[in-house]
Amino acid sequence: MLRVQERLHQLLPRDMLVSALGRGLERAEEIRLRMGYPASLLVEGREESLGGKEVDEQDIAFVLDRASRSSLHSVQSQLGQGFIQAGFGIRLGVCGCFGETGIGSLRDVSSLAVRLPHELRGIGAGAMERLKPFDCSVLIISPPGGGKTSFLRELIRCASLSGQRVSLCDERGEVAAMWQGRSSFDLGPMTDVLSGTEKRKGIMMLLRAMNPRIIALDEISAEADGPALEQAICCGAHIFATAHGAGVEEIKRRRHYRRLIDDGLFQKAVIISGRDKRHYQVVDI
Amino acid sequence: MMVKIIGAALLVACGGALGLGRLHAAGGRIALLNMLDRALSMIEAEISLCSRPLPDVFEQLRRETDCELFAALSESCAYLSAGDAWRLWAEGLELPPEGKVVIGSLGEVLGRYDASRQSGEIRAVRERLKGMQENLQREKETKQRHYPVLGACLAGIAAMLMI
Repeated sequence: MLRVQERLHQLLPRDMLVSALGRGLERAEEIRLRMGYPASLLVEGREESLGGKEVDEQDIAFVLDRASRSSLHSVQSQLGQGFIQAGFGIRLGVCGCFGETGIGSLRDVSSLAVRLPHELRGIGAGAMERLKPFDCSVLIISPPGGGKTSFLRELIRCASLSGQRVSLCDERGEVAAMWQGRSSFDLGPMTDVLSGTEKRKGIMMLLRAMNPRIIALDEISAEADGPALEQAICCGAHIFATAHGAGVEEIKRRRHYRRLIDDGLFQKAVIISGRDKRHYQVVDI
Repeated sequence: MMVKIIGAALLVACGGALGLGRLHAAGGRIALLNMLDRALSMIEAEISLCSRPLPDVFEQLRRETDCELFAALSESCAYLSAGDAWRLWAEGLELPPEGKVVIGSLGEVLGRYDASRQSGEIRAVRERLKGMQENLQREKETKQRHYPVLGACLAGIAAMLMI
């Protein structure tokens, strides 16, 4: 986590960093920069303004310049999806004037959400006990920002430590945050990470190449992922995946998830609720 | 008298050498423009074909050309944005002011726009550099004979005046 903080210190303009440090930057989930307003911190689901200077074009350009290593062209494909990976799991959500190929210039950006990763060892310990020995497929459900990715990381680590061979397909690089061939988070000794590729392609590659016992994925919201997930189950692998939602019934209202659940792809769900204090509930589905 | 003649001859020779030196400087500027053109061509290819980050491209330039010129550029990327590093670096080039402005103008674009915009700007700068290179070449050829002769003549007149 020290590396995350160091990287964050490089990313933010000096005055903004100083005010953020004074307001509990280490506890923040996100830092928000909106042109014309002071920057703010998202702490425990609540946004707190840092006050002082309003964010201007130079501040936005500074953060983007640092995040992209002064090379907007090198993150063009990520920008086309609305985000930039800034290293060590820090992800910049980008908003502004999008053209056909995404953002064409630093000047087109109007706001940024700097999302900070958190390695929370031991979270949901009770739920984790109920999931042992990790021999079934698990769907982790929570609203956006509810801690799905952190729990998925912990689940991968625990499964890996218990001797299961885990392959992580990290399309957006948020779970493992690979940096120079190493994961920025401890994902256990028996975890292989494939990042930067689409899930449906990644799953097939992992099945062919890594002989996984478990395939872990973040956010299986695209219908196109369905056939690849079925293929993985047919090959004898279990799936650990996350989905946006408040509960099983709610996500079943969406056709894609209803199909996956009704087809019996997942046997258990972990439902995460609560903002200030998170509750982890394991249910059979 | 002999000493005066030797002195005058030396003076004439020095004048000629000065003229040759001026020609040599023009040749150096042409070589520098040539090198910059090759560097820009490589930067354009790395940006548009490989999407490589600029600090890595500058580092590769330093390694491949084994030239001190690009070492400064590569090193300054550690604490400056690539565009700012480029602009500062361009100011230190041994080129006429117009050349520095043309090269330096790329600093406003490098890394700050998508690949196609950067690529277009680099091509435009290369065109302008090519024009400058041709002008310098023409100038060098016309003055190839004039500078040494002019230098020697001026030195000769000075020698006669002194004698």
